Amino acid sequence: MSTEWDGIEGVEGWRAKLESLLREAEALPANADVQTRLKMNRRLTEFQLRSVPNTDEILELDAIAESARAAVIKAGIEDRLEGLAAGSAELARFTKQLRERSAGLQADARSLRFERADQAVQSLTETIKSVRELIASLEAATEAELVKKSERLITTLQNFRSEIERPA
Amino acid sequence: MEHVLRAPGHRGRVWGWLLGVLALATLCGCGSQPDASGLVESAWSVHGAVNSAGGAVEAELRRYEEEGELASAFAESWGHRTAALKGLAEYAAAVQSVVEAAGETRQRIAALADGISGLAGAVGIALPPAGIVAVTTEAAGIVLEQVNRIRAANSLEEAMEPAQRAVEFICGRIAADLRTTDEIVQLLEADARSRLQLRWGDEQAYRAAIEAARREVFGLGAAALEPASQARLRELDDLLAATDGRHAVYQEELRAVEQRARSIREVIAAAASSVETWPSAHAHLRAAVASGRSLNIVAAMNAVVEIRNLVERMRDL
Repeated sequence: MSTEWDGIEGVEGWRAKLESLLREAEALPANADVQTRLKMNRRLTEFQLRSVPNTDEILELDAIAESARAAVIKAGIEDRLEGLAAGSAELARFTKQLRERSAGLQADARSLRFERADQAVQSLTETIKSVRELIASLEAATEAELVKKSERLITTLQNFRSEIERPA
Repeated sequence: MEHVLRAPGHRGRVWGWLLGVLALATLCGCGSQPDASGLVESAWSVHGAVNSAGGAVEAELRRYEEEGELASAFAESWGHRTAALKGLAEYAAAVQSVVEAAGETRQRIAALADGISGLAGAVGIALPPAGIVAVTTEAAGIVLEQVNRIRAANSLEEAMEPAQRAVEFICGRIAADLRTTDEIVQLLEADARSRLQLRWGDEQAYRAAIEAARREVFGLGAAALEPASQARLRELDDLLAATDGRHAVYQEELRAVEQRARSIREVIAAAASSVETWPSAHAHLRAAVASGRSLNIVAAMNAVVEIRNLVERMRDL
């Protein structure tokens, strides 16, 4: 299987290959996708591993390839960090909105738990009193009295409900 | 009519009627309140995973660049993500606390009734027989419970409808940011791997040359069995064996780079997958609140255990 490294010989051959790689690396857009950057990183790494013999001239080419490789990676990281930083302000704004909703809900929960206790005690006492009167009158009351007392019980229950239901 | 009221069984009918009145006095009966506890747990779980993954990525960035500028920039941005997820978890907890507050009503009424009976006894007020008090208390508890359930549902609906947009934005943003962070991890891994390959390049090339020479001997066919070829093979094997120790160190370093990156990426993927389910889980909860249905957020809960395991594994590295 042939590779892009086949047939490269001598310093001039490796220099030409490096120039071609550098042109490709420079042409990468700032927001190049990660796979493109990873591929370029691999090719520039391979250049350094394959370029032989390790004469001063070849080592010089390797140093240039390494700078280009490191730059390809760093530019990719920086581009992504900039993206993260750019989204932070809006994220903070929505987080604040959510916190306000949470505070409202916590207040509602407190209201449901505690603030009605007094009214509940009062209403419950009234309800028990009304039932007691109704029961006491069952034996002796006329139908009209019973209806009246029953109506009073319903009113007490409705008051009880309204009291509890009333917004805090 | 009077005789009807006073006939045997008359009390039972009155009690039936009385309970009917109580039922009418309550508002329309609601089903069980939705359970938001799955959302609370999943939000804290994702918050923990994102926090841990962020810490690991920051450490990788410091490993990559000693000056720490990129790591600091990342940490600052990531702080907004963990704060947003903390906000999400606190919001879920607030939703759950409203649900719970409504659910505690009946017990509270029973406790109040006990208190009232005790007080009445202490001051010499004769209360109706205990059975009547119990029935009334129960009825009052039902009334208040239903009222509180409706109040809770109204409160939840009022808060959750506008919160849906914030939830969608935060979750969408964080899911995208997790993908971006996954790419940063891939870039860091590629860089670490390249540096390692280049640092060990000469030794690996030497080892590759020995292996190529061995393949040449094997390629001789029958001639490979001749004493000269066998001696050459022994010589090459000795040379190869001499590099084994160093080669093992190289392999170990390479494995460590791959394992660190894989663990971080697994946590990121699990967190992203969980955070992506959040807006629809929230929308379902809203619908459940509106309709009074109960809701078991299975999808949100499933991710919790997996995330915990992945974070533990990452921390072990």
